[in-house]
Amino acid sequence: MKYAYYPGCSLHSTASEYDISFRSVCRTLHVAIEEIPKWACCGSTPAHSTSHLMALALPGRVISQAEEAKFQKILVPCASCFQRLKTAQYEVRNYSGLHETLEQVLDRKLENKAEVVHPLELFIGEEMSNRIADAVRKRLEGLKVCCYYGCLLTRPPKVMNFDECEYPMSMDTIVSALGAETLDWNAKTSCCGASLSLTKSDHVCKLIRDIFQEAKAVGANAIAVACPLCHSNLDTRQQEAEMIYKEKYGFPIFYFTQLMGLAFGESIKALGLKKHLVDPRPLLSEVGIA
Amino acid sequence: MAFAMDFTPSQLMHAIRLGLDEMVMSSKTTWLCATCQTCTTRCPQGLDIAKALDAVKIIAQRKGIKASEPDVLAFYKTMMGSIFGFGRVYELGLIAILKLRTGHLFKDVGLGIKMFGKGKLKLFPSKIFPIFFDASEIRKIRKRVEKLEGQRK
Repeated sequence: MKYAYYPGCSLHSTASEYDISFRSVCRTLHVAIEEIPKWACCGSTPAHSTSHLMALALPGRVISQAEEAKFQKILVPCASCFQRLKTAQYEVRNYSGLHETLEQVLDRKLENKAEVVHPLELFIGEEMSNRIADAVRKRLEGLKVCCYYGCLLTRPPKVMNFDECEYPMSMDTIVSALGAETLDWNAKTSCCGASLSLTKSDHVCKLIRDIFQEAKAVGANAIAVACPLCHSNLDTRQQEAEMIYKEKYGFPIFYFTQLMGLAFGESIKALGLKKHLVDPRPLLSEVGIA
Repeated sequence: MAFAMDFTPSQLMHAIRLGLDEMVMSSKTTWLCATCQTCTTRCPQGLDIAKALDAVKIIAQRKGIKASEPDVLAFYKTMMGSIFGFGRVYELGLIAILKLRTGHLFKDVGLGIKMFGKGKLKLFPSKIFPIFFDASEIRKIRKRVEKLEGQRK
């Protein structure tokens, strides 16, 4: 079966390394994906903060496009896109009259049956777990990883219906299968401030400082994420937070797909590991991975 | 984000219930909410607080009430402008317009240059031609949404 792939805006720009590492991992694990043609933005926070209907119409259109192309499942790596698509589906299913309104607004047919899947959900399945175990060429020993899920992958649980909302484990299961040590910690589902980064960066620095302190307290040397905005805040604002709080964090932030790619023997360049502001290469060479 | 808010989300829910519209509409809480969904997830009364905060923001905009955190609203409007213009978010254009709107011309310029150097910001909207095709459909959707929302007012 072929999956529809909805990268969303971030994976085409600020999170291009999430896109290339995800594609690489899919190739290794023989997961067939095809980008939804002519997709547009899901609207994210700006849409649901300005128009309730627009915030459902934009992700509704993505689902409709995937269905039009006869896909049954849509893979969505961005946590925000994932949540917006699931929210649109949930609301259409649960509020009477909304389905007709959306079809009218979109001027499209919306079956609302295509399943919206996060890559974590796919990779944690039994068959994929076996394929991952077979694909590991280089165990990631020496990496002590805090898996950071952020807000939207699991919340609100009645809509997302994925993993455990307060203390998820899916990413930990995958990352530990790669040979890395995953740590129990307190900030798995804390908020990083998300899109307020552009306008309220001082608040974002406070939030990420709290996250780094928790990771430091349990002795981590890296943080893994599954969301472009989490990555952007933890990576690009890290130096600024270090300066404000006069502390040293030095945490390389990996997309979990980059860790998978590393374990599967892919090169630093092929996984976009040179694109991070906190360079992960010193740590990787220190523990003998790359 | 609660540390920066003037009222906690639960206080604001009480204020809405008591009809303290002015206090609700002028609070910073709604605009500083990053929609992390923690309050919605944990509310013992089952309120969808994050969605209620969205509703407050939308009503305030319809009534023309000045946002207590104008930069945040400027960001939302700028990003929606990018979506209506290109179908997708064009980060470099978004940042430039946001700077003009908020007047913070030099905020994060160094960071922006670093990100550009790492290939994280594109000079032009990606894959321009299919996007222009897309955006016309998005603009039609916008018109229909605005018409419908206008009727509901």
